[in-house]
Amino acid sequence: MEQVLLSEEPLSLPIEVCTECGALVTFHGVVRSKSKNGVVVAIEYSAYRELAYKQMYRIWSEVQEKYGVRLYLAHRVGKLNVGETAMLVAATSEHREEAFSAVMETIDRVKKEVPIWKKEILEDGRSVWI
Amino acid sequence: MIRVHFFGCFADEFGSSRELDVSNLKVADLIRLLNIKDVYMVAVNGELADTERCLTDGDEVAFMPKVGGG
Repeated sequence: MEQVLLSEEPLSLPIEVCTECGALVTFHGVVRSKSKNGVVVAIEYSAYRELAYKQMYRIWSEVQEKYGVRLYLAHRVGKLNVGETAMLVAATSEHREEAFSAVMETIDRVKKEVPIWKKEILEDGRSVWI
Repeated sequence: MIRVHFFGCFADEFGSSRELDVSNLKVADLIRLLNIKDVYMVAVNGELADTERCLTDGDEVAFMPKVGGG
């Protein structure tokens, strides 16, 4: 199973917890309706796909090594309705601290380092880059 | 000839890509030439690059605004 994924398809959690692991931490980044721009009905995610995958892989690799966890990192592209999962991060580890830290650092780095952009589609018909 | 790709809101402003017949330029020169504001990331031939990178014939340059995944 691919542990880094950039996909147009809905995301699901494929990670298995090994018998030595006592922690599984997961994060779902979900499209929400509330925005300073108005009521959101969907978000259109676009990416520079080749570079986005490279950057995701780099983050996945570095975070795994730093925290000694097993990591899963997936992000969607395309139009996602409110309630759909845009990003999924999961970490398994022996203890919870490193799994929580790995997931937090992965989320923060994806938001800064991966060339993915989003455009809000609003209820009033406007669309806004955010 | 250099092919330039634009992403995110830059694609709305400049189109998704265009070819430019230019030579002896750095990335920074191209940003000035095209008057692109608030460039967050640049890639040359699929790899991240800084604005001092010299461009040669056949290069593909990508200009990216602030990213916002998640």
